[in-house]
Amino acid sequence: MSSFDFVVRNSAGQALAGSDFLGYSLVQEGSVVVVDQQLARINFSTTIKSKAPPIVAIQVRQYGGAWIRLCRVIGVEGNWTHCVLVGNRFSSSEPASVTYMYRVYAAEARSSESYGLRTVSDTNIVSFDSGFKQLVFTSFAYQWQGWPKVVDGNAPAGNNRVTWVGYRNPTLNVPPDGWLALSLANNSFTTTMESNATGKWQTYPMEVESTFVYESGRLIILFELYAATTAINYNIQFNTFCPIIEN
Amino acid sequence: MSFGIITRAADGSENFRAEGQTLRVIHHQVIQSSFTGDVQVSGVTPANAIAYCIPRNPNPYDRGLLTVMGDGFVRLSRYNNSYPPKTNLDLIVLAIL
Repeated sequence: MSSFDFVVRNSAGQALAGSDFLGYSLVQEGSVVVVDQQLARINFSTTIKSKAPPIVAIQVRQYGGAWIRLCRVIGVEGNWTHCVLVGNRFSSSEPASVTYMYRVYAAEARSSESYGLRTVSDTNIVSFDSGFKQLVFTSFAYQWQGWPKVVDGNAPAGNNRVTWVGYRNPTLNVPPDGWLALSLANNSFTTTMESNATGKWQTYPMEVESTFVYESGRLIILFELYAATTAINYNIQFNTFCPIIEN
Repeated sequence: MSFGIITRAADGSENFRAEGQTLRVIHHQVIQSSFTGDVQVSGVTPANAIAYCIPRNPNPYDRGLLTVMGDGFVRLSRYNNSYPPKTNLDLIVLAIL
């Protein structure tokens, strides 16, 4: 960051905005219906031309027993077009279809038509415009603890057996009006596990999908583990830093 | 807040005030799906940064790389060798500064 320019810092001295500070600003918001195990889509009203992908946040109020297990931005650098989501409910007694409020934040601000404050970087990119809500978060989930929610799925052995493993944040109280930056989560990846189901210890590939759950003010990460047999020895590593947006 | 900056939209709703924290893109790199190992990113820790990968493939179910934040680096790993070869992914690192 240059030695002189316009910079705004919080009381801890951390930068929040500045003329060469490419933060995120709100460019679109609305609602989307997400159905269990089906693909839902949020089309960006205007192609987002930032180099880095936008951040899609979902309001936690609509969580409960119905969750989102996939939230992925689609596109390439300079041409981000839409976001897809897949619903996931833990049991058939929970709603199969939920309407979620969403927000889309982009890493390059646009110019608003109104008057106010606007800063432009030395590469002629609008870095701040007072006409748009800035992405600011007031808390974040960082420390996660294992939660006694390990349930072996009902899939027959040897055919994509599913195991559920949960972690929760025991101290962070998330308000129902808070927004979760879901597109940042490590939604799905491949890792390994060990099993001796065949009588001999072997290493198998294991697909992992993470789902965020909101229950009584607490944030929970629920992992679905897909493997050919019951997962026994595994080490799931995941993004632990989860910002909560409240403004 | 007794001093600082607040900006408001034309309808009077607040868009920004100098409180809280925000994220800034500090690293953006295009990598191939065969990549595993550490990417050095100065100043990051698991408490102040997040890293994630987005496959540049319109199939939303394609698996990304596992990203784990360490002190000063991002560790990437993937097991499944049947992943489409030469698929590009965007590695993004966001941090509080």
